[in-house]
Amino acid sequence: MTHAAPVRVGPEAVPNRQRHWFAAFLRTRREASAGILLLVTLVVLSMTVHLWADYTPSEVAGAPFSPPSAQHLLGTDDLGRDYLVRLMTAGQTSLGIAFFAAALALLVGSAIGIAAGLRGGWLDSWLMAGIDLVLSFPSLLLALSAVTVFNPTKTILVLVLALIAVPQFARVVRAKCLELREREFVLSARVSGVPDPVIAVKHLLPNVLPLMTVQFANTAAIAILIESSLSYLGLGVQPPDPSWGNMIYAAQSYMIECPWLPLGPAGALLLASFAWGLIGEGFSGGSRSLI
Amino acid sequence: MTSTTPSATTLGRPEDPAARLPLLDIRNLTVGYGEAAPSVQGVTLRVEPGEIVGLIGESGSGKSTVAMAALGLLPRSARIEAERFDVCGVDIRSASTRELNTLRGSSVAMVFQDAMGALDPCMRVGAQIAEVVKRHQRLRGAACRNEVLELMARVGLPNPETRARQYPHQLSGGLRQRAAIALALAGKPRILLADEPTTALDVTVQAGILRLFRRIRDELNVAIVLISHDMGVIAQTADRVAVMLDGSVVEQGSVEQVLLSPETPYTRKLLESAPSLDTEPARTEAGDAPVTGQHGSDPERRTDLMTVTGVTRRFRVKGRHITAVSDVSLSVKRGEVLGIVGESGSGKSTLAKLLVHLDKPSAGTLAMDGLDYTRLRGARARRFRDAVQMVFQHPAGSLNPRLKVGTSIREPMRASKVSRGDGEDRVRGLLREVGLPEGCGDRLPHEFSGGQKQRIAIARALSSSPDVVILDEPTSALDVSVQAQVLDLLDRLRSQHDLTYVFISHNLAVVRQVSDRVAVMYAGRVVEVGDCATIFANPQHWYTRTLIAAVPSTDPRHRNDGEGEAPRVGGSGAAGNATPPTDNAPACAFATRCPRAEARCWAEAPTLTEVGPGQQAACHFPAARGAVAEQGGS
Repeated sequence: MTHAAPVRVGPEAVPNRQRHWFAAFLRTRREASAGILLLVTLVVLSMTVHLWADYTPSEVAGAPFSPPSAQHLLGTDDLGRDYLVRLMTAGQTSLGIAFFAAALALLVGSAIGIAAGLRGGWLDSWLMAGIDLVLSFPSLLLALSAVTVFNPTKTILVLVLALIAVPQFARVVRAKCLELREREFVLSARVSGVPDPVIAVKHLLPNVLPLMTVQFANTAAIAILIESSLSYLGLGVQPPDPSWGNMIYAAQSYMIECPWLPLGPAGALLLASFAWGLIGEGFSGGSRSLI
Repeated sequence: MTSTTPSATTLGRPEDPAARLPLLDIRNLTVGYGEAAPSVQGVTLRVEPGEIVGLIGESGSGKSTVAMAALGLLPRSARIEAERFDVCGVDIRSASTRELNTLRGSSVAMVFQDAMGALDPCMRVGAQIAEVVKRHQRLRGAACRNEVLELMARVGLPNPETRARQYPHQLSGGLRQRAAIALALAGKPRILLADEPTTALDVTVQAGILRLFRRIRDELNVAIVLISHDMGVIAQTADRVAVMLDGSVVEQGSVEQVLLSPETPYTRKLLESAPSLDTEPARTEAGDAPVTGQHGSDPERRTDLMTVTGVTRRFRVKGRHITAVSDVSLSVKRGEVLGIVGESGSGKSTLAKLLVHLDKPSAGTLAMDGLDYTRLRGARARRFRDAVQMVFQHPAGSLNPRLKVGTSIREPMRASKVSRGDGEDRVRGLLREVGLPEGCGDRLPHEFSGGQKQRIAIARALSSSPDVVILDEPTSALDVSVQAQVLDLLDRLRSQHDLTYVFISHNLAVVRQVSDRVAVMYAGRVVEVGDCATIFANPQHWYTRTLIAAVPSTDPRHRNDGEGEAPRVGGSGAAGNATPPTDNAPACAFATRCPRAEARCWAEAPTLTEVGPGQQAACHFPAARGAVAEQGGS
């Protein structure tokens, strides 16, 4: 018997549902909790920058190249703009693009994965052939060519990053669905005449959800890095809009004299990507026991 | 070969004084984890050299924990307390890792249920055995090679030279288990722990493995601890038996004593709930509602409900065609229980999927109440599905772990037919009917035990008010006492709801207990079909006879020791005696194993023909009636 203590059915055996699920979550998934805390801090600081900051991101606030001080916590850049304010404003862009790209990839990729995994047959073959086609391009090259052809607006960036992430999503979800499809509860639903869309939503989706959470976090971690790479190459977010990638690019000329300039955005990038990674890791550990 | 004094036939190890001591001496062993109640409590067990001790009990009774403790393989978190815990003279409690490693393999060895797990899939069988021989017997080169081949021959692996060069996946399940036993014997152990060694095997293969255990005990004077949940296995193999319940040994003694005149109520209950081929299936007096089998009215008046005509299902696996079901024709009559028996791979489950329209046949038709549903799609298929439901083997798998059980039960009721309130009422009613509290519909599946989950799965199958329920091994994953309850429940529901069952199982005793008619499948074909009582009393197809003979009797006095005839009905121990006239696959798939196979069996496929009233068999040379009685006595 897999379950240590099956509840004996009877009035005395009402299962003690976890009332404080939040507390339980913090206790059992420390990595994920740490990741979420870190990420939420970054997001809140970025989103509320206009509320707490004394300067706007493009306003000349002091002397150029001022080192970190009480007035400018991270110093100022080559034009004398407050670097912390710019960093947090860039966070809105960088975090936002990664989040929406991962969310879009989740929607599209999971839909493809579930459809392919549930239906099988020619639909599966065709969808997977398409996925393999996308996968056969190196992802950065794909992003570079797409951004070169279209104007690198934020929407295009989200679409391109999502396109890169869709195949992984589709594959992971499809593999799980292929396994679930043969499970007896899906077969009994079939025997009862439950139509495929209902099976997909009611039986497959809840069971691939933990997997999707993990994949979503990992995708977001990678998307942040790819977006920064593109911006660093000058093909992502365009100045004067700040993003962590183009801030690193702008800072590299002053690297020796003003080390805080590249270190600020690089650190933010590291923290954000690390936070997403922690979330992914934290959920993947537990998800196996859930299934 | 009913040797109770094994020393007389000892061939292997020379007698030394130490061999007189008990090999396993456990006194008052308690194993616990953390704060929970101990999983083994006060177990006392002695195993003498050359003795087979059966350890029997239901899942969770602590049988395996005792074995793992004796090997020193319990996790570190386990608390082990005992007055004495000696294995081959070594005190397990104080043994160092080095001592334990020497002990394992050279003094104690283990055989597991899953032979594939015990063998390394990337290593040739011979090389794996040689590795142990080298380490424990310090043999090299030709001596080692000869020892490996001798071991393989001893455990009954045919053509050891060829088999030694094969990989585990190239061996069949039975041969793989034999290879695993050879591997266990390679270190010349004095005691062998076998944990459910035949549970995953077909019954005909199991019989051979059990004989092998007794032979190696006789020839090598190895003591064997045989852990099993199956009364028959223990009765056929063990000298002494210990019955375990909730971590304690409740009864211990010689096999005759414990199984024939059990002293504790628990052992009696175990014996009663295990269906057996030796006793008449339980039947109530006429007038009462029948408990099992032989339901109600005159079979002649029953009409055909489902008709299967010439159904074949082929699969293409890596370019090769595999015929899982081949030209099967059957009818299921209204109100009856049709049992389908056969070994693994005989096509039972594929047939079940075809019956419930989960899969479409490559050829042939299936009809329900005269309506051909072979190619039904869409709304009409959905309407058909209300009438046919299915219950699967694994209670854990048949419920979505993330849905409340009430939602699962309500799934087959279509939204258009049942309003929300009515649905709730029906779910409560169904839960009550299957013996669960009405209010447990809003719990999740993991809160229930295996038997309770199977009850939920049954409630779910009934919720669309079907005419037919296909039961695919519904009790195979359950303990015998739970199985008995579920079988009772199924029978009660059948009479209350006028249901028709198709009951698929590999367990002949269960099928005999519940069925009105039985179909026997072999290699995708129905080889024999007829009234349940007739088939079990007088099997005509040689496969049916082999199958029935292989079921281990729960009576230890009926031991099938020779390689030949079984004490029950007819049967054949050895493989077919006919030399194949050609290298081609025989027309009758059973010909290679059949004791009566002749040239005609290779040339011409037999068809189902009437061999008696209400009995059909697909055999050119069916067992004659007289021969059965004759063989039954021998």
